[in-house]
Amino acid sequence: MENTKILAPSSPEAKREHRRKLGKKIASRALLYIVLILCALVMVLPFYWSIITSFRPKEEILKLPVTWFPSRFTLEHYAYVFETIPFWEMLGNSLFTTCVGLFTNLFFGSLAAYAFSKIRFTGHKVIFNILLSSMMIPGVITLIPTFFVLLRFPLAGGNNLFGQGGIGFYDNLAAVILPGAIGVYGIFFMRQFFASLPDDMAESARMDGANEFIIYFRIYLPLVVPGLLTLGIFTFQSGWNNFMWPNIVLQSPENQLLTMAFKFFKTPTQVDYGPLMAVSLLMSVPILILYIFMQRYFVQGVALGGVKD
Amino acid sequence: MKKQLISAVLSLAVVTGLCACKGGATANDYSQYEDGRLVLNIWAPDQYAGSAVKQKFQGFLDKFNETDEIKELGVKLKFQAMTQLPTSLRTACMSGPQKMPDIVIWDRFATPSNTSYLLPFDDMIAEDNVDTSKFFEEAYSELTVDGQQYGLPLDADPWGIYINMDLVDAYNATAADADKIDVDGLNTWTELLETAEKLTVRDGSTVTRSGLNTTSADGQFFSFIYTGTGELIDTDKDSETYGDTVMKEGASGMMNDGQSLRVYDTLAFFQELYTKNLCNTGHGGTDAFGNGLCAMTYGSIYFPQELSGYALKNYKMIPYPARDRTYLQGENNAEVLDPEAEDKFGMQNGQVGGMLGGYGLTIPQPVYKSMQTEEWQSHVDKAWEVIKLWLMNDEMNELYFTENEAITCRQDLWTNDFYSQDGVIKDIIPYLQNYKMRPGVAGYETFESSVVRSEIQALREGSQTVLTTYGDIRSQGNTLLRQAQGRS
Amino acid sequence: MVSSRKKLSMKAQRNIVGYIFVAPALLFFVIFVLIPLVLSLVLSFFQTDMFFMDMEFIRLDNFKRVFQDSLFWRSIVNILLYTLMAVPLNVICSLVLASLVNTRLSGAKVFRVLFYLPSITSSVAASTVWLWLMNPSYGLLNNILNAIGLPSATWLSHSKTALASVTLITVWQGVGSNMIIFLAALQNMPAQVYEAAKLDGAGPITVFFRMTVPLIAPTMYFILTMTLIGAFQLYDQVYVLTSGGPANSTLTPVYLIWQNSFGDNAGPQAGYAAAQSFVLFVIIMLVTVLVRRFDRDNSK
Repeated sequence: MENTKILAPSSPEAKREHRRKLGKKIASRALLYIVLILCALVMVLPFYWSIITSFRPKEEILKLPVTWFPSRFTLEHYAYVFETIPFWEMLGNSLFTTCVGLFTNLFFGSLAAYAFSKIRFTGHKVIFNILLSSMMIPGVITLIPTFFVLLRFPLAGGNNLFGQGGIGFYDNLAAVILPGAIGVYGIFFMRQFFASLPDDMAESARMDGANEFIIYFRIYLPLVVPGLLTLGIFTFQSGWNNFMWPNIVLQSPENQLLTMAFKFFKTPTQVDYGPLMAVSLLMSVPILILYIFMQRYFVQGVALGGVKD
Repeated sequence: MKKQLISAVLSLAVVTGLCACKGGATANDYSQYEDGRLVLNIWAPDQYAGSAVKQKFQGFLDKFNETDEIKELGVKLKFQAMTQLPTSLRTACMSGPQKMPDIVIWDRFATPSNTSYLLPFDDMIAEDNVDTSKFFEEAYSELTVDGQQYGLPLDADPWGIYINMDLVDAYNATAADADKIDVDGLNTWTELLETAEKLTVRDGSTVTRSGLNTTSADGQFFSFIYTGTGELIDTDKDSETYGDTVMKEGASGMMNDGQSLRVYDTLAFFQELYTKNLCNTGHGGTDAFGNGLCAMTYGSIYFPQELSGYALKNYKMIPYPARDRTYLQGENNAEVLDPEAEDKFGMQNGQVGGMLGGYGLTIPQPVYKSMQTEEWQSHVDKAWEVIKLWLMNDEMNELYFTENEAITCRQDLWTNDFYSQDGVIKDIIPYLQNYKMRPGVAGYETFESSVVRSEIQALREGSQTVLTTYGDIRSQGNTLLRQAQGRS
Repeated sequence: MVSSRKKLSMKAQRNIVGYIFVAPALLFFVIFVLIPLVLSLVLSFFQTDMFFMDMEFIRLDNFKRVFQDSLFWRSIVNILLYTLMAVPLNVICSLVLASLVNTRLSGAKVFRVLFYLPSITSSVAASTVWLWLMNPSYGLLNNILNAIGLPSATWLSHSKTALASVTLITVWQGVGSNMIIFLAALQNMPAQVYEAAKLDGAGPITVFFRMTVPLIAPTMYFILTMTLIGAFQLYDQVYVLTSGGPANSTLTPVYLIWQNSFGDNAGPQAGYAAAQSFVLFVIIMLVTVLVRRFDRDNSK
């Protein structure tokens, strides 16, 4: 809190005191700004450098001494990226998998979270704790079996009821979506939100004979929108950045995600920095746009949200 | 309540349905046709199909697809560069024919660990009387595992040392006659060391121009071992230690065994290279060589294609020089040998040559027998015909290699005009018979990538001695190799 | 009697509705966590490839092998070192940044966005950018160092500096999201607390350590646990930047297990990889419990 209630100075002594305080305040504020700007530089410099590199002519990238600005701007690296990879298909795939995952996580996650915090059915605590403790399991444990489960998924991709005969979800975007479709983190996060809301709204609605789904959907869900938005950003981000798993289950060029694009410009012996920077920037643009639009809700959502426990 | 159940089930169904629709393939789209010709898919690993090579390969395919022979077969070839080929191929072969390629350009040395999904060619070779003696034996046998043939070799890819001749000429212009560099005479380890020293430029202790790229020497270990006519792995099937490293335990074991001594000498030679401060850590890449910051580096026969984007045009490729140094008297006390002479273990001291890399054409098969359908078999038949045409038809073979500027494994064709044009290919062909494939045992590739490489990196950084490195490679290597080969 | 029966049926009805609501989540949990977990446990007792062909029951041999596997323990040492560097650094930096932007200064919002920027890019994209920044000769970092008269650093190309460089990158990328969480906690703090402290004449540093830190302890604990669990799963950055090198100095357990499961040279290692991942699981659990204990002792 800034002290804004300094009385108007009357005596010369008070005036001097006032000026001293003011000077101190300005100095501390200037210092704060300097620190902030320095931090911001560190955070932003890599972006600047990748942008500059992506627009620099090829022959200038590996040239010493390095310069802060390119001698001329070129789109050659971007052209090369679009030539080399099916960019729009990859973008579409990334958007599709991320958005479906976003929807399932928000909807089913909040549904379960609501049940855990407001319905209090028998065993809700036990089940919730089991779910919660699974968050500690490193993903690699289930790597091979999950692949097997997806491959032998009954009735998927030409499989029969026993999972034989077809390819299941192999090389199918569903293989990326399904394992992360309903994340435990989302349930945990949303439960915190529901828990902060009073129970009596539900009680009275139930007395009036309202359907439980309606209570969840009409009464409570609108109240946790900031939470949904925050979780939405987190989920979108993790879906968008998903790398290890798609690498395993997707194979056809038309099924690749955007995160896999960098591999086309970096082989063990050769790294094409121009296109590589271009593609990493292209990778970040959609999520940047999303963040800028959601920024306003974001801190609010985290504040209301799930970190108190 | 019913409503809730219904809505929950419905939305689940919608989501699953959505997933299944998008990109959801059905069993029917396995065989695809274009212009009435069956499409056969070829996979190549990305390091093979790196940007320059990829275009050339596509150029070959465009011509190959238009030949009468291919049209007669009723097939059309399509090509796909894979960034993680063995991984993708393994999962694809587990899923069945539908997602599998029909032909794979296969990194030959990885064959022993992956035979469970590569189709043996033996029956087809016998049936069609394919004359396999036309192939360079060393490359052909790299695709042989336990007497079964898992493919036919495509290219012979000898590795060697690339020298920037502009820098050599510049040096020679000012050097006294006795000091001049004779690249053709660069035949031994000692000469390599001296030449590297001559080409190194330092500012104080900082190397401003590297004489020899030593940062990537970890990948050249086998090549150097071989220039001592040694081995790294015991590949003698009758031996008790078959599949282990050749290295004997301890310092005494090392000194009293020809094979072990060569491993030790190579490590000690590497250490000598490192301590001579011949290379700036920043000069390990292609760019440093291409921009004249590094005078000598290692590369395969495809290296010129990587270099095509740089100003440097005047370079030369030589095989790895022969071992003529031994460190029996201590790590820092090299003794110079006559490379042609035999030592007390009955082995020749040294020989120019190196490691032979390269690819083969293979046909993958579904892992599970139940997936090996008739339709798949029909693809295999066509793929086999294509491979025969590609490799055994002289004209087609030449078409491929002229397009790709590489060396065929058909040694009967090495006398052709294409291989006698001036350039690295012509220079290296006379030495090809000296080249040797990597050891054909399961687990070798992991041994090389995760044991040898990291141990030599540690040696380069000076964080461990030659003896420790030797001991680690031996013990970790044996453990890993035994596990990979299913021995305990 | 009537009312109690009605109550009972209401309870039953509630249970059914509750189970229906959590059913999809549970279903997915069972299919994609529980079943694979059990399969993986079974797998760890077999010598097999990922095709599940030629499965041979070898009892605890895989686990014995894990304990003798110097490469695995090297990766565990690496990840512990990494955790020791990255987690405190991340928590401290994000708390400092959060305090800095938790003011009414004009432009604080802009700084918030700028600080959060690295967090929204994918680890893969960020790593490729840093790979370029840390290039030994053409990279910006070494050129800046040289420009101010310092010698070049080896960054990712030497085993002494590689892990620290990876840490730098992950911290750069991770502080933003933790900053937001801290910021949220700071904004939730009652204003009177500060007023009172100010009246007592406490300086900002004292206020920070005496008032702020204890009040946001729960948030701190949350962030600590999540960052810790995340740190143990380091993979993407290593994949892009170093492939575990040089000299295995950035080899992480997850990278190693991935290599053994699906890597180019995986071979018949599926069972072994499963055993490795269970050992890793136990280690993560132990460390998390340790942190929890430590946290409890501290907050007493």
